[in-house]
Amino acid sequence: MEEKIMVEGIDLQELMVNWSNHLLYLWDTRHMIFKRFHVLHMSRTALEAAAWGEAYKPGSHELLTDIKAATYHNLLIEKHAGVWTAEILLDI
Amino acid sequence: MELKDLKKIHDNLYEIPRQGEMRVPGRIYANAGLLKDILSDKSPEQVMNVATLPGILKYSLAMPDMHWGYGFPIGGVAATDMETGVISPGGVGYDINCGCRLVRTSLSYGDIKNRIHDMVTSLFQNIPCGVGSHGAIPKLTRTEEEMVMVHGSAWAVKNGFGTQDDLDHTEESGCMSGANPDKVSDRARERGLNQLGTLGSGNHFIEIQVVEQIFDDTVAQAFGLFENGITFMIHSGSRGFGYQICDDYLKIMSHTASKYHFNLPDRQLACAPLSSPEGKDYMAAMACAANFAWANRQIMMHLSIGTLQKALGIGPREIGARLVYDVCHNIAKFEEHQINGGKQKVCVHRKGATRAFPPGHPLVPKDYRHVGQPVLIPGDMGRASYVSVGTETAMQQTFGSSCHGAGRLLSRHGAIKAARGRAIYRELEDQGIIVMSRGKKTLSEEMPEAYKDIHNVVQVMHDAGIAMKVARMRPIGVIKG
Repeated sequence: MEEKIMVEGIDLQELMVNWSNHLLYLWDTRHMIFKRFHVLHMSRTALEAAAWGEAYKPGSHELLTDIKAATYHNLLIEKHAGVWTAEILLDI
Repeated sequence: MELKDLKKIHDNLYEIPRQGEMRVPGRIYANAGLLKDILSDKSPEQVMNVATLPGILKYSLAMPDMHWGYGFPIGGVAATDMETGVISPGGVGYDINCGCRLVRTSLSYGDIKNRIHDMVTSLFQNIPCGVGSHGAIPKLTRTEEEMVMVHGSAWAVKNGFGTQDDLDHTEESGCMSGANPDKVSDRARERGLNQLGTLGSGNHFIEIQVVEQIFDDTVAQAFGLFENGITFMIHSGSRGFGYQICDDYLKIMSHTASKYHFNLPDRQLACAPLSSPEGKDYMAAMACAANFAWANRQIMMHLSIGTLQKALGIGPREIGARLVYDVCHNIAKFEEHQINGGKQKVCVHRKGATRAFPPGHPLVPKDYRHVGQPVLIPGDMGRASYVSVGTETAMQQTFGSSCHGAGRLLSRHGAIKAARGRAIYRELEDQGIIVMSRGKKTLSEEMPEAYKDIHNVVQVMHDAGIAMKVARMRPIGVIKG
């Protein structure tokens, strides 16, 4: 199942948090789980991506814990030698 | 932060002197033992950050179960001025009106000691718990969801889940005024539609307990508690509905921070003046989530009572179930407190803290008014939980607030590491505690060692005169998400 996702944010931090929380929203309301993503367009304030995954199936997926939200707590987004790294804390 | 940075007020209270951008000093309720753990994380720095909030009054406070949170420390209490102060969604938390309710029964331990397994199994089968749980009651219509937002527990009672007596024994009677569904996003509404009557996962639980010790006979009697009596406790909140409202308003307020010239040390502390449109909108949306959470716990309590009756083959008269009280421990409320010698309406943020109002206070239920408000303090699933009672000292020192639990000691990751190679459910069973959980790792994350010693935490509040011990309950059966 493919899902087009578009999020906006006033800066990279907000973009990262909004992206993560959008995935949580899709989980909570449609029980969708994604494992492959392709970024189509990205700027410092907008992100458009395609995500592939499937609906939750109790026999095949193991759920560990609910995530309440992605937070700004100690949020880290860095670019080193052309590679982006992000560290994001989830409230569970 | 180190011990030398703190000023000792007395054995159970330490002060962080006002410095830098702090508008008021910080005050931490803890004894020397607990302080060692508290100083090992960054929660004291968060107490300092909260002290920078515009309009904060008297002190930025922290209870003995405090630990590192998001923006506010968990266990944090802050009151802000209605005119010059702010409201901060981080001071309430993602799980708006996460709270706890205690139900007493007429049963004694002897009546059910051989039936505990049946009771726990029945609860586990009948109360939806775990990640993505749903289905306790039919999915709400949009109109029904709005009624829940506005009426809270009263909606549940009107629809057959409980009685008027339950409302009388719930903080705010289970309905916070000022709720306005127009201030709730479509996304939050969508997340709430099929989550009412569900426990959730993480640290949420339903626990069957036996009253192990009574510390104050008169107060215990008023609360309907007796030694060896069976009680059960429900810990849950506003589920995805509340999480989404918090996230929505954190975003709105981080966008408007510059408009109000706020320069905050942490983005999670995003806030808006109480008198601003953003501040008022958040309060109206937060009240919707608070009401959702009360209805949620009300429904789960009603279903749990029916489930236990069926499991034991007894009727309502024999079980004698009655709600002792329901408290919220993630909330912001308008309350009257003594400020500079005069009574003043303020906004009290309780982020992981329980209201602890004294005898005689008009907001304490009528039948408890001569003794004070029950303060419910759930511990970890291996040790104990407590009922304490609010005091006048709490009104004077902590804006009528006390601790809300044991407080985490190990991170969830740390707990999983410590539990490796161990069968936590077996260890608990050996102690006479039957535990069932949906998530494989939940039991490891939530094992007793992951928490501070509840006895020590409650004792600090007792010795400081904030909330006096009434009864201690030992867990005998637990369901978790």
